[in-house]
Amino acid sequence: MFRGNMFRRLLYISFRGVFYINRWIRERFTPLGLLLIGAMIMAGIFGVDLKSTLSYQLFTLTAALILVAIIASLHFKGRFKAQRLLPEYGTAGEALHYRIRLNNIDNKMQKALIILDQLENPFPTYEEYRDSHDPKDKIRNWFDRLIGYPRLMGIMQRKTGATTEAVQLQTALTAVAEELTVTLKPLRRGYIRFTDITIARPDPLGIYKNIKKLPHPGSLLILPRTYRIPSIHLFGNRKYQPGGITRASSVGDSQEFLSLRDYRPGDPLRAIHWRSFAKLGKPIVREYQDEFFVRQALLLDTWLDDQPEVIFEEAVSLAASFTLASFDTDSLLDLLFVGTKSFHFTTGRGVSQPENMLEILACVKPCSEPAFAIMQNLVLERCAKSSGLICILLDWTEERQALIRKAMQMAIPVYVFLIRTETEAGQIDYGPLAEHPERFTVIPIDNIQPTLNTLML
Amino acid sequence: MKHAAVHIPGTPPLLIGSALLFWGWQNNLIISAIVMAVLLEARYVIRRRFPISDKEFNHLSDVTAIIFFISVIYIFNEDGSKGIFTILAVNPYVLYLLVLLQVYSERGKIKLSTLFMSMRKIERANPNEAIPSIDLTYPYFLLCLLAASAGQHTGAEFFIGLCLLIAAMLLSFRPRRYPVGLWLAMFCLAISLSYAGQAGMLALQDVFRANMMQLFEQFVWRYRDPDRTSTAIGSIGRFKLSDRIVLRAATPTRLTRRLYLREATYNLYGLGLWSNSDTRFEPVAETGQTEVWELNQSNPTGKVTIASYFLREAEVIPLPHGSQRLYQVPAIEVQRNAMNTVKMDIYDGWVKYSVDYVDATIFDAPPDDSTDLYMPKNYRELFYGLADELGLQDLPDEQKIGIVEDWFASHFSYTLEQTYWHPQQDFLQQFLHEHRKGHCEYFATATVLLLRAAGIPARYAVGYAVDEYSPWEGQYVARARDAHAWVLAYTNHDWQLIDTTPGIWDALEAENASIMEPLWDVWSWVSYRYALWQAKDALKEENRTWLLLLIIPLLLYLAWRLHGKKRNGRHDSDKTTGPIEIFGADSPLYQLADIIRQKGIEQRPGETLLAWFKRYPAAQADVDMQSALALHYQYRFDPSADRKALKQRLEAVCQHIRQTLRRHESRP
Repeated sequence: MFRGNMFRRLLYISFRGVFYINRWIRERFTPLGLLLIGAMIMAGIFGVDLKSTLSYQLFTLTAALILVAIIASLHFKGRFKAQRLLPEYGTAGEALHYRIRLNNIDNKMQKALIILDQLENPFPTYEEYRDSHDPKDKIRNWFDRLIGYPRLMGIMQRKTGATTEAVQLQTALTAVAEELTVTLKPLRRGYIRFTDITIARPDPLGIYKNIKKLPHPGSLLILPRTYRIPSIHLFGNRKYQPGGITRASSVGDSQEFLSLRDYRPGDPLRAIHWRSFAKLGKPIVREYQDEFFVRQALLLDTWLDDQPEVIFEEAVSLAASFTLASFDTDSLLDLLFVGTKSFHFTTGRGVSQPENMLEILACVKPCSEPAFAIMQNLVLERCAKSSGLICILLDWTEERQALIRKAMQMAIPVYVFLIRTETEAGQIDYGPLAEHPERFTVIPIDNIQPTLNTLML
Repeated sequence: MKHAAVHIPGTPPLLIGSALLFWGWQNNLIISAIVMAVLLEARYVIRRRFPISDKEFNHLSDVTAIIFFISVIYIFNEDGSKGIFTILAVNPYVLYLLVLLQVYSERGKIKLSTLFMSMRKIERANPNEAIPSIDLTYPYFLLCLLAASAGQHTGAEFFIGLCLLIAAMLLSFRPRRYPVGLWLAMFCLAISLSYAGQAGMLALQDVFRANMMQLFEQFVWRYRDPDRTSTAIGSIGRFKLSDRIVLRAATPTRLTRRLYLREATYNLYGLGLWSNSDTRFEPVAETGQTEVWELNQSNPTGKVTIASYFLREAEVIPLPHGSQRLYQVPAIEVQRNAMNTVKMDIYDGWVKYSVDYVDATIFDAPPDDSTDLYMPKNYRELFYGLADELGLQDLPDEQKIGIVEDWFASHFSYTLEQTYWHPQQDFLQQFLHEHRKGHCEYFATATVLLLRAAGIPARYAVGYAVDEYSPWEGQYVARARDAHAWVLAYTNHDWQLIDTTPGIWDALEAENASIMEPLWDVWSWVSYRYALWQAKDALKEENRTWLLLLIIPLLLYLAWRLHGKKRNGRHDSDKTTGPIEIFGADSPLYQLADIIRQKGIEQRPGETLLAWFKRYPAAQADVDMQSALALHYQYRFDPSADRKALKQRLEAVCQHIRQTLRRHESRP
């Protein structure tokens, strides 16, 4: 009965009403106002029978205070100009500070103003509410799970993507521009959209705020959170790269001598610089600028079927972590993923900047439709030039296993990271990687960093 | 520029203390209020704060919750629904310890997870998630004011105290941008508005109460006035009574016909109102046996045990017409009037009593022609004319009654809806000659007056017509909608019951029953059983040791939780002091590590296994240490791996390495 669509829809409509009322109350009332509203409601409940208690006196007093405060705050004529000074990026989960420059255009001095930077906060659609999954549901009580209000708030939080704190000016705002610092806590990667800068003035009793909204749209890109990954010494041999990498000072074998460096497995013996070997006691090889170098492909699985979205978010974070780690090595990394079409971006020493790759990853979205044909073409095309393939997968389905099998048939080593929720972790058939279980790592979402710490790449 | 995040300031000194004293004064708990206030306010003198852990906060919160629930059970049992005000009054006690702990804690606030179990779960699952904290002092301050409102001083002093304390609270939040004078003016305006609001609310409640009582009597419980009853004759709209069970009747055997339980009888009618000429009640003497009252002397043929709801302590009770004696009820007094309406003085709520009765017999006193044949002036023409029309005048009484019954049965129909409005005196005229449909009050009133016009003394009786058997309860039930009116006619020196309302009336009423009716019935049965049991308990004034039965599960729960916590605590301490069990500690790779350690090469702090092994000269040789480590890590950290197979493989690899190392070591 409770799972009926009608019931869900009614709940959704009520929640929407409750949400807007709640938002209005929280936006307009000060903490004191909220306390008085709470007292008024309680006194109203106990004061229904006027003959039994005197709670109705508390009710009328709090109600009168609120009414007087609302009437008193109606007159707010200030004129302001605001400018938001945002940083270039933020990182998911890490608080950042930015400034708001505020001008009082009127000559009249304004005191005790409260400033709040408003974020775009759209209410989820009914379909989003109905179809969403939240891993936190497993720790919620049955009522919350059934009703789904916390889940709905979770969706809203993810859509908004951040929280900002209201700031109260302790000094008077005059015609001179003033700057104040606002703290923003990003909750997810991607763009955070700002809508208005709200300037609120409390009434003389300090209960109700009259607000002025200064439309000031803006956005801030929040980069994905990254994990610490052990330095990458990827398996696989160097391969010939047709066309070379003339665009960068990458390293390989060529007739043009570039420098000397430490020996790496796979370097030909003829490249060893014997004099340096004798001098330093360890193998040193000559480097030439050419097309032979180690190049890894990193495949990010974007097909999110029934799994919770947090799995995808962690996969992106993991991809971002690998991408960043690749900048410390001499090899190149091709990031591959499929969105509306297939994408590939190359990163490594001298090719692209970490920020560029993180920007791309900040905007990756999951696909609801499997696009394995596209993904397979993309992978096979890149595998021909790659020394190894790292796959970050969201699931271990037949299609994905087939993809891995094909990649392995091209005689390149494949390493699979499977992101899973804790409940799903269990006995897994390694499929094509049965021969190389060490190349298959299950990463539970609530234990990512400890699992990564044990990696031996 | 100076600015800061918006937050709630702490309570100023003496604010909570004053609120506690106010509460104590209102509820005659001043001594404990003084102690509580002093302890709380002492925080401004005693600067020491204590490092109180989350666990301790949680323990206290749990204990507070249990104390609260025990109090609720106890108070509700003692005071019934009015206990809610007692609970309100004692609330500052319940939350006090938690507030005290908060103000003396280093943190100075309480995490929301302390108050909500669900948040504790979230906190346990995500230790990194920031759980918001709150300051309980302001909510506690307001709670004290609310609790004070349940107190005994109802004069202006309460409102004055309330205003002063709220003013003190508002002052601590006052925005500094405005002058104090403006603040004061606004506060005074609010007080005036509040005062006016209170007067308005009191007036509104009087109006509301009057209307509600009327609705209450119509839809929930009906108070039966033995002296008069107003009918719904002439009311426009739908006449609908509720489905609520208002009466239960248990009989030794199933009834063969409808049982009429009379509440009252009236003999005077005028414009929709039936009343009695004689309103005196005389006490019925108790027989030699306790709790037995003899109503009439005869040999009973039936027995019925009735449970009826009393709105007040003295109420008219529904009884069968031939009631002989009333017993098995701890009534203080039983009274009866000239119409044989019986009133019982007992407690309010559900009352259960047994009656022996003689079937098909009515013991009422013989009629008084001045009243029982009285025809109101307004209706004389109508009813005498009708009696003539039906040719009743010269017939024997039985025949007259037969004709009247037939006439109503063949020409009238039953309805609960009246859509036509007519002048007051014309309702019966319209009923008899125009619309010819109505509910039982129309039929009974018209029959009484028609019989009187035909020279038969008649009275108007009201009560319940019982014929709905509840298999679940094993007895008959009567709902509010089963309230009925019928006629008592005196013929051949005896009263007889005449019911001219079409027999379909109860089926029509039942058609309108709510689909939730079975659920309400179950609830009604449970509350009825509880009320009977509680009433019995109240009368017997037994000691309330049974309360322990309710408290025991709570105490057991508390003990279990505390024990569980202790056990967990012991478990935690074991974890810190005892040997740590490491998953995969039996990895064969550790044997290799032992070999290296025996050679005097210790692992440095932070050194990886691979780096450590490589410092062992023999391991520089061509050994596949990397594969061994990969297998080792998988064995240790991959819970999904086939551990047995993995261990075998690792053992094989380690064996091979050991052999290689030995070979290298044995070389010169």
